[in-house]
Amino acid sequence: MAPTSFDIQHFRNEVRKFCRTELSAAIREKCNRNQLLSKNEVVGWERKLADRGWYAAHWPKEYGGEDWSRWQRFVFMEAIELEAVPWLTPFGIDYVGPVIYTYGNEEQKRRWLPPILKCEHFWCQGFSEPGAGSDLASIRTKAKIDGDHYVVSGQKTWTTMAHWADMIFLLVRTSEAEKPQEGISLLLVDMNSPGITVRPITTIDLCHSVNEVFLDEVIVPRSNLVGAEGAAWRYAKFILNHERPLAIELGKAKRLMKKLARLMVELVGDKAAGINKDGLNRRIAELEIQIQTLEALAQRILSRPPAQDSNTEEAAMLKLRGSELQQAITEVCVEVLGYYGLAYQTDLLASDAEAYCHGIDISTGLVREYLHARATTIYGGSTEIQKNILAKVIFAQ
Amino acid sequence: MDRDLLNNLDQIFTRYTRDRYHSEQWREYGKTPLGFETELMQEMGELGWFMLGIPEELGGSGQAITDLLPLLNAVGAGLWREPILPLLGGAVGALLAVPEHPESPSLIEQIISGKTLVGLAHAEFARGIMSDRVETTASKSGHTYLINGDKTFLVAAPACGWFLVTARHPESDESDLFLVAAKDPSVTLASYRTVDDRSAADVNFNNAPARLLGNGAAAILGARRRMSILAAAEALGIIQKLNQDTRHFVTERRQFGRPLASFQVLQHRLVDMHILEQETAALLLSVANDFDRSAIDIDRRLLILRCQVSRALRFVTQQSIQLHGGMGMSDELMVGHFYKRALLLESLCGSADWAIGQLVDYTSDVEIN
Repeated sequence: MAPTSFDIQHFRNEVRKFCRTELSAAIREKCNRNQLLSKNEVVGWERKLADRGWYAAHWPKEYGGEDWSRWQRFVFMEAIELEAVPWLTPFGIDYVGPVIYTYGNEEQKRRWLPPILKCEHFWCQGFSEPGAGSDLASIRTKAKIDGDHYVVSGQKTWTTMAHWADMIFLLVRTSEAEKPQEGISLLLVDMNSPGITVRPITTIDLCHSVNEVFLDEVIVPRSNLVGAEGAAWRYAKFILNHERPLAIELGKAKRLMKKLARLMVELVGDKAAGINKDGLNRRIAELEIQIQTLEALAQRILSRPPAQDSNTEEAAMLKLRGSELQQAITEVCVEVLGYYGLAYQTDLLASDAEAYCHGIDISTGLVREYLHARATTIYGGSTEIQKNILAKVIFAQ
Repeated sequence: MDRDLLNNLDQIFTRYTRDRYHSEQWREYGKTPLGFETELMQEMGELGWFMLGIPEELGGSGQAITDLLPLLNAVGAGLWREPILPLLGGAVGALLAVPEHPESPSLIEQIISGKTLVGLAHAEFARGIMSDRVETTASKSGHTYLINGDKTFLVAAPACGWFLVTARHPESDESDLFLVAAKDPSVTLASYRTVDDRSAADVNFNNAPARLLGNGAAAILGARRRMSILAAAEALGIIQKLNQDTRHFVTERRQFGRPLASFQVLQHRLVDMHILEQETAALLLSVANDFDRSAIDIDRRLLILRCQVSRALRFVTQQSIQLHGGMGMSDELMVGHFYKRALLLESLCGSADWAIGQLVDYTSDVEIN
């Protein structure tokens, strides 16, 4: 059973009520329709959570958090995902922040943690490269020492929200070693540095969230190296193990299920929609099985304290199943839309859209969700990589 | 039974499997007409194992079904032949649902002892294996009842001392639960071997004298719920054992000059099997906890568990044969015997298809919240 040092139901209700009362109706409606949000709207929401003390509550008290257990954080994330609210960007609070307070020096903690907590620095993650996707260890972006500085040259790609970012945490190669995992270092880099160019990549949802980032002799102070030089493979794994459980998005899955139920009511009898009632009821039952199974797995894993280094296996399993679930739900949603789901009106993704709408108001947003969901089994280590990781674990047992 | 002992049950059961149930012993026990050794059943009773999951006032160790899961895990992993699932699931489940009857405590006491087997006689050819309704009738004759009808697939029936029989009153569709002495001359058994190498019988009741125990629908619901959880625990035991054995096999077995375990396609297959194991374990525990606190949506949760377990068990048993290659097809290896047990477990408690059909009916009624 889950340890209940806090009253789960009470806490969940409190979080959901906060979401409903503190977020403006306009942004709420945008989120509900899965429309595009501005940086101000996203960061403004994060500030509200920070003011409430929830934004980084899973951090240790000494660094400005509340020492939440990972179970409480999970319950919190599920609760906000149940509501139509902006995406909580994880780059600062979940990725680089924990790395800095775990592996950084005192000066770095003083300098970089407070701006994360106050939502002053927007971070992005400089991991993937054109030649290093699933094979992350083969990165080639180089950092050479020149006096008090590193000079960094190379290219990153699939960099989510780089166009909004003030800072990037970069995996760079500082030495050529026999094993590709050695000789990799982690640098904190100002996105306004000369020599950085950000170029948008349009994805199949015709939206812009990922970028290419070019680095041409970018000067980075040596004091921005986190931990030891050449030891960053470990930090990268630390980050990925934080990233993966976040991909469960169980709250979002449940919200989409409600949306699906409403859609079915709304579209029943509509010949343009794709409702074959018996078949659909069966698929909804299938989704319900996936959700309850994942929920039980997440609860079992996250409600016990993390064992040393065992969270690789757990994170891999949750990531793998969570991403499959997102794809399965959005697929059924789009199927229900039938003909309405065949239009894709990106002009309707802008908030002030006044264009003709083919079908129902949320259909483009749902199709966007469906298209985007293909990425979930690729990012943060593809499903196949997760299976490689799990294979290592189970054969070591 | 104290908490320390409860916490060590896993080890106790593993040791028992090692001492009593290595594969030659397993084959030896199978040569008996019953397909199992009644002495082992009695030994387990003497060790107090059948007290698990039964309320203290009925002589048990406490009614939490979670206490009983390790025993059924062991039954699965060790492929124990004793009819523990139908006894502690079906019969006890039905009896706990009619607790007010004075016969119930004494029957449960007999079950706990391991000396007397009680069989739940419910399924009928006429109605189908998962039907709640029955054709068998009970008519009143003075102070007693007379049962007439045919029951099918009563596991371990030849070893039973008592049958709990569901029968309806001639004028109604409502059924009640009756107690019939298995050795009464009015009861005729036609025994046969089952696919998992045990015994079962079709049973004819011809004016069999019976005592009324209580409401039949309540008894069947109680039996189904309990069977459902315990069958899942047995299935989990099989899954865990086969995953372990299959991993071991592909590590040892070499083809193309290297261990099978070095092939990625086989690694990923074993990962799929491992995830199913972890998911099933997590869902089982979650649903068993809900069962123990009488959650209102327990029947829906049990159907979800049934789907997950059925599919996981099917995938793992089939892939275990596949990954063992030709050897997996031999009677000599245990893999195939687990596969046959899996078929039985699925049919006794409803297939994934059956469960999902039931779930659809629920989904149409209940608003997703």
